[in-house]
Amino acid sequence: MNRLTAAIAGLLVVAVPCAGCAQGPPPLPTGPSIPAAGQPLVYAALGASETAGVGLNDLELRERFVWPQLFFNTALPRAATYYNFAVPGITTAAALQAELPQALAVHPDVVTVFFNIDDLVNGASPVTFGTNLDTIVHAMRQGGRARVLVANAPTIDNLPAFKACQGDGSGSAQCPVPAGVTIPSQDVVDAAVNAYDQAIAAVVAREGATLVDLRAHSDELTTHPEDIAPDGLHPSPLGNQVLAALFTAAYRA
Amino acid sequence: MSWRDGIALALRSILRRPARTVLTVLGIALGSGLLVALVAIAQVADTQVIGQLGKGGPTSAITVVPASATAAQLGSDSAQQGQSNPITPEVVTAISRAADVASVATVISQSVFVVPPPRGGAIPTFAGNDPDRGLSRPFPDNLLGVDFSSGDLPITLLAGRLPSLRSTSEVVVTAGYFDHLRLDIKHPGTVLGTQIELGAPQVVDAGRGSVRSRWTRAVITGVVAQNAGGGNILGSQELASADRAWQINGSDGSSIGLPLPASPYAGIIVVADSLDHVHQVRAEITTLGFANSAPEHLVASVQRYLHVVDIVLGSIGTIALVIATLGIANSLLAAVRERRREIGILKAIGARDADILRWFLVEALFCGGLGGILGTLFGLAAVTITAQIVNTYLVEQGLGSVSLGGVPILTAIVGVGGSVLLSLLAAAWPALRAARLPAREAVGAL
Repeated sequence: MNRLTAAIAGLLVVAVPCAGCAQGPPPLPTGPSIPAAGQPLVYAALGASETAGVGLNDLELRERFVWPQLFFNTALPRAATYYNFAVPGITTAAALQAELPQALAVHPDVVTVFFNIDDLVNGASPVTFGTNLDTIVHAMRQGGRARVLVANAPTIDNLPAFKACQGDGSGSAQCPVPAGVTIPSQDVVDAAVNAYDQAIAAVVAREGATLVDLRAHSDELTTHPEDIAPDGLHPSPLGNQVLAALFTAAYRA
Repeated sequence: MSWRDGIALALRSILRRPARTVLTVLGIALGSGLLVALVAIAQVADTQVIGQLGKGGPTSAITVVPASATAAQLGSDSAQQGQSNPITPEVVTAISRAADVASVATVISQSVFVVPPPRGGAIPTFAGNDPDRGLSRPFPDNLLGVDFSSGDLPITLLAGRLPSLRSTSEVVVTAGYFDHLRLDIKHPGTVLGTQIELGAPQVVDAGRGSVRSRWTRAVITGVVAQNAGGGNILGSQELASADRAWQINGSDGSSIGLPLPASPYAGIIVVADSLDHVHQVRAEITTLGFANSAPEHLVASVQRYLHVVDIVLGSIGTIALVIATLGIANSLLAAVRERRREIGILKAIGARDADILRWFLVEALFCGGLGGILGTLFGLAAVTITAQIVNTYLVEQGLGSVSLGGVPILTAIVGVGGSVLLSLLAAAWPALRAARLPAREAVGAL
């Protein structure tokens, strides 16, 4: 009796747990733990060559390192959508037609505006520049609906490209000023940059935008060779990271 | 002699020869276990093989492509494509209204530029102008917008889960994504929870190569074995539709490899209401002018072969069970010989033939029942272990895992019931022989 009972019990001990797992194969791993996607904000980047990624040597590099992309990835929630309307070499006057309508069409909640160098290079007066910029910022504010971040201009006299314009040929950078245009002196350039930055500050104050103070970080942006692309004018990948960090800090302030 | 007395007598006889009882029960258990295991494996194999032909979707699914059908269409399982023929919403409506169509699921295909991780602040800082050293390179691909709620998609989940319905920030990826990142598909979980950036292009000026992108970010929630079209990223139709609308608002970029999409839908998955109606539905779709594919001829051929396999496996299990049954008969015949004296005494004190018959049949019933239960449990356990081994192999090969769909209840019932029935049949002759044994002859054996 005892031996038979023990034998049957032994069989059951082996068989029952095995059959208990006959529900099928182990379930596939459940999905990963995913944080909330956040608000579906729409972000539009308006600007010129810096915003378009000029200075980054190929498309793959631009799509990963251009500063609006980094800003989008760092500062905005996963559910956000990002559009880059920047056109290399564009001035504020041209952007009124080539960027502003397209950007308004996507009804952005967050806008970054970064114009100045191309206006400066093309000789736009601070008044004209300020008027055009005001039109852009006012429109993009959409009656206060959108948050607009406007970058001012860093001092540029330390940039290799500017030095090349001043006759300093020690680097590989080329002067970006078109041939035939008289190269102004450093004092004149500094005065123009100051006037542009004053115009930008006035627009920011008038329209309730947020200033991204690149001027305060001029040294960081224009004197570190690793932050500057080989053309001596545009930001390198590291320079784009610095720009993105400054925009992110201003956005979060 | 009452039933209770008969059962008690049978149990006492069983316990008096425990070794023989255990061996008899084990014989039945092995026979029924083998039968259950083989039948269950055959059932799973049938389901899985036919299922694989449907690539994870229903076997009665038909894939419609945006091209006209040639005259050879209905004679072939694959799409016999002629000229381009856009699939419009009107076409989808017409197909969904056709006879014998159970459901229709549309697929949207959208060109995207994919930027894999790392991103944002996770990107290492580089001092040079070649910062993509060591990073996965961005690549162009297609985002497929599908309706994940339909359940009729020809995809098999390898890891994780499908995106939440209508989510624009969750996607699943195929093995092709692993190839781009030079990752091993044998470890599909490595990409789960990571985020990718998807850029849908809009051509501004094809001549100058001016392209703008609409960028979104999505987290990878799962990995699938196949794709529903020509792309390695599968997302919601809401995500693909928004990207598509963005591209269509731009110019044609055929000269730079970014043509405007010609067809609103890249394909349709049409499910016939049964496997028998697949051909009729394909004929209707062909009449509407669209090339289509379905493994209907292949399924029919495979089903014939699988039926032969079922017969062979079932026969092997049945032979094993019959051998076990003969073991019971042999055991009971030996018992009758051993218990002639007891039979004689019982008859001498008034036991009827029916009482003796009941004694031996209860003994056979017990052995058959216990053997059947143990054998069925062993059989199911064997199937489970086999399925786990097969699953491990399939996942390593980048294929979908096997699902048993729970305990095959009918097979289990047939396994136990069949064991009991065969045991009773096997015991019938020895029991009758014992019952008909004259008391004088039985006692005379003393």
